[in-house]
Amino acid sequence: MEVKAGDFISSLPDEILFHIISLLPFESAIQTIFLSTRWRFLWNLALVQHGSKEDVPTAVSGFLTNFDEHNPTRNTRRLRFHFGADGVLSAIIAPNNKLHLDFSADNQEHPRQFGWQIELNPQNLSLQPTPSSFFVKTLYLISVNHLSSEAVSSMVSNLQLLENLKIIGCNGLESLSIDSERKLLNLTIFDCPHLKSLHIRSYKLTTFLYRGQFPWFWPEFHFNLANAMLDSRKGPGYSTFQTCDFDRVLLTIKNSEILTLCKWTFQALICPSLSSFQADFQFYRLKELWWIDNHSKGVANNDALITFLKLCPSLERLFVTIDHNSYVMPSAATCSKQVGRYKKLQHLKLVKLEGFANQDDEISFAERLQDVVAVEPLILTTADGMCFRNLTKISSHESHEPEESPSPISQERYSYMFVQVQNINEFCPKHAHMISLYCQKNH
Amino acid sequence: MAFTWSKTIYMGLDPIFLTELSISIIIFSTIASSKKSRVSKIKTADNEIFEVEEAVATMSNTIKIMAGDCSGGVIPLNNVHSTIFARVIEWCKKHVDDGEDLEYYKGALKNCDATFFEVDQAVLYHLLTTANSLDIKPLLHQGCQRFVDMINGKTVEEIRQLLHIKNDFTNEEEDETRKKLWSSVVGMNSFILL
Repeated sequence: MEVKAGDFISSLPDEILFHIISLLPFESAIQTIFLSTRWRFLWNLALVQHGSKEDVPTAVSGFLTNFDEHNPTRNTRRLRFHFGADGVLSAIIAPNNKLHLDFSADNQEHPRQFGWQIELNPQNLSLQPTPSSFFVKTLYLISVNHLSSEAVSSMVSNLQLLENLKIIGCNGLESLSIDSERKLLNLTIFDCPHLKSLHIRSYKLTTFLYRGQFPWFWPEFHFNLANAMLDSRKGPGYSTFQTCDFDRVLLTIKNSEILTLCKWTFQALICPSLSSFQADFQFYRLKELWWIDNHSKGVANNDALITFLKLCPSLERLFVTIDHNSYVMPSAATCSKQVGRYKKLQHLKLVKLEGFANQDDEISFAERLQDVVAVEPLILTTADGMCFRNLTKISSHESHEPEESPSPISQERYSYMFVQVQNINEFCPKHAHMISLYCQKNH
Repeated sequence: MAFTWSKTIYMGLDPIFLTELSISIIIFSTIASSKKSRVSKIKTADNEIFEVEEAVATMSNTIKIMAGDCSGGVIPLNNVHSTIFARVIEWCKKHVDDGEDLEYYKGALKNCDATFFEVDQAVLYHLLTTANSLDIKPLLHQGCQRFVDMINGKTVEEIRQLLHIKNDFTNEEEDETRKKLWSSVVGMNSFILL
C-alpha cells in the first residue's frame, strides 16, 4: 500500500473520509473542503446509478429524498443515471432549491418530433407527504427528447412547489403544453429549434423568457407579465397566427416593464392586433426595451421602432441591436398603425446602439429619435459590444471643434461627435435579458 | 466448571446419584467447551495463522461470509497484515458482547477504547482500512471518531499541521473555492462546489 509519508488520512478511501466528515459538526465539516484538492473533490462526487427509462422518475425522487442539506454524508449533489442503451441523465442539485436535469449526453442526430405536456397542478396530491426535505423551486430541463419526456413529466408533476421552470435545448420538441395554474411564476424556453406551438395555462406567470422561432402561442388564461423576452430572430415557427389569437398574447405583455422584441414580430403580429384595439393602446409600464432588427439591403429603416416608441410613454432605457442573422419580413411591410396623440418621451435617459453598419446610420437614428424625445438621452454606440462611443450632439456654431465624422445629413441642423467611452459599466448596465443565464448560447 | 471426582466422596453423598450427576456434568461441560472452542482459522497476508473464537471472528461480516464458503477450512485474508489483524482481534474480543447496535458506539470513545486508539496515524490508517475491508462497522466508527476528534474545532491550518496534509491548492484555486463556497452559503445550510 503506497501511502504518502505522514499524510495518512488523505489516503483513506472516499467512503471512510465521508464517514469522518459526517461525524463532524457542520462548521468543522466545511473546513475540510479547504484542506487540499483531494478533500475538495470529495464534495464533487457523483452518485452513479443504472436502470431503465421507466426508473428515471424514481431514481430522481430517490436522489432528492436522499439529499439532506444538513447532513454532509448525504450531500451527493450529483447523480448520473444511465438508462436504456446509451441514455445518460445528469442531475445536479444547486443552491436555492434548484435542480438541473440534463439529458445532453443522450442526444441523437435526428431527433424525433414529439409533443410534451407538463402538469404542475397540485390537484393530484398524493396522500403521503413528500418525504424529501428538499423542495425544488427552480427546475432546469435540458436536452429532453422524445425518449425522456414522459419520465420527466411524471417526475415534474411531483414538484409541488415549483416556481421557476427553464426548458432549454430540447430538440424535436414540437408542441409544448404547460399547466400550472397557481404556482409557476417564471418560465424560460430557450433554443428548442422545432417548437411550433406553445400552450400555457397559468394565472400567475410574471416572467416569460423565450428565444427561438416564434411558435403559435396560446395563453389560455390571462396573466400579466412584468418581464417578457420574445427573442425570435429565427423567425416565425407558426403557420398562421390569427389576429384574434395574437390579441391574447399582446394582452399578456401589455403591462410589462422589461421587454425584448424583434422588429418583424412587431410588424407581423403586433401591428395588426393594435389596429383592432378601439382605445389607444400603450405599453404604459415599459421601462426597458431591447429591440432586435436587421437592416437588410443596406437600408436602415427605423420607422417601425419610432412608431413603437410612440407607444411607450414611460420608457427609460432603449437598447437596439442590429443582427444580420435576424429574420426579416419578406415584403417591405410597413406598420400601418398610425399613432394618434402621443407625448414625447420624458423619461428616456439611455440609448444603446449595437451593430449598426456605420456611423451615418447611427447618426440618422439619433436624428429620428429627436422627434420623439423631450429630453436628450445619453446615446452610446458600439460595433462589437466591447468599445463604446458616446454620440453627442454639438451645435454647429462650435465649428472650431473637430468633427470626427461629418455627415451631409447632420450638417442641416446639428453635428454629431463620437467620444470613446472608457468604462462602460459606469454608464449603464446591459439590458436585463442580455445577461440572463444561457444568454450567450454557450450551452 | 472444574469438578473433581474426589470432592463427591468427601461430601458423603449417595454415590449412584453423584455418578449420574457427574456424568451429566461432564457431558455438559464437554458440550459447552466444544462450543466455546469453535475456532476460526484465519491466515493473514504474511502467512500467519490466527485461531480466533468464531464469535469474535464473525464480528467481521467479511469473515462471516467467507467462513460460510470455506466451511471449516482456513480463511485467507490476502490484504491484512498480521500485526494489524492482531490489534483488530484484540478490539473484537473486548467488544464481542456489546451487540450490533451502532448507537452504542456513537458519541465519545469509550474509556476502554481511548488508549486503544491512541496510536500513531499510520496504525490508525491501517486499522480503518482493515475495519472497512473486513466490514466491522463499530470498529470503523470508533476509528473515525479518533480522526474526528483531531479535526473538530480546529482551523484549516491547524488541521493540516496535525494530519500532515499538504496544501496543493494554487492561490487562485483556493480563492475560487472560498468564493464559491461563501457565495453559496445561505443561512449556513446549503453550499455547493460545482
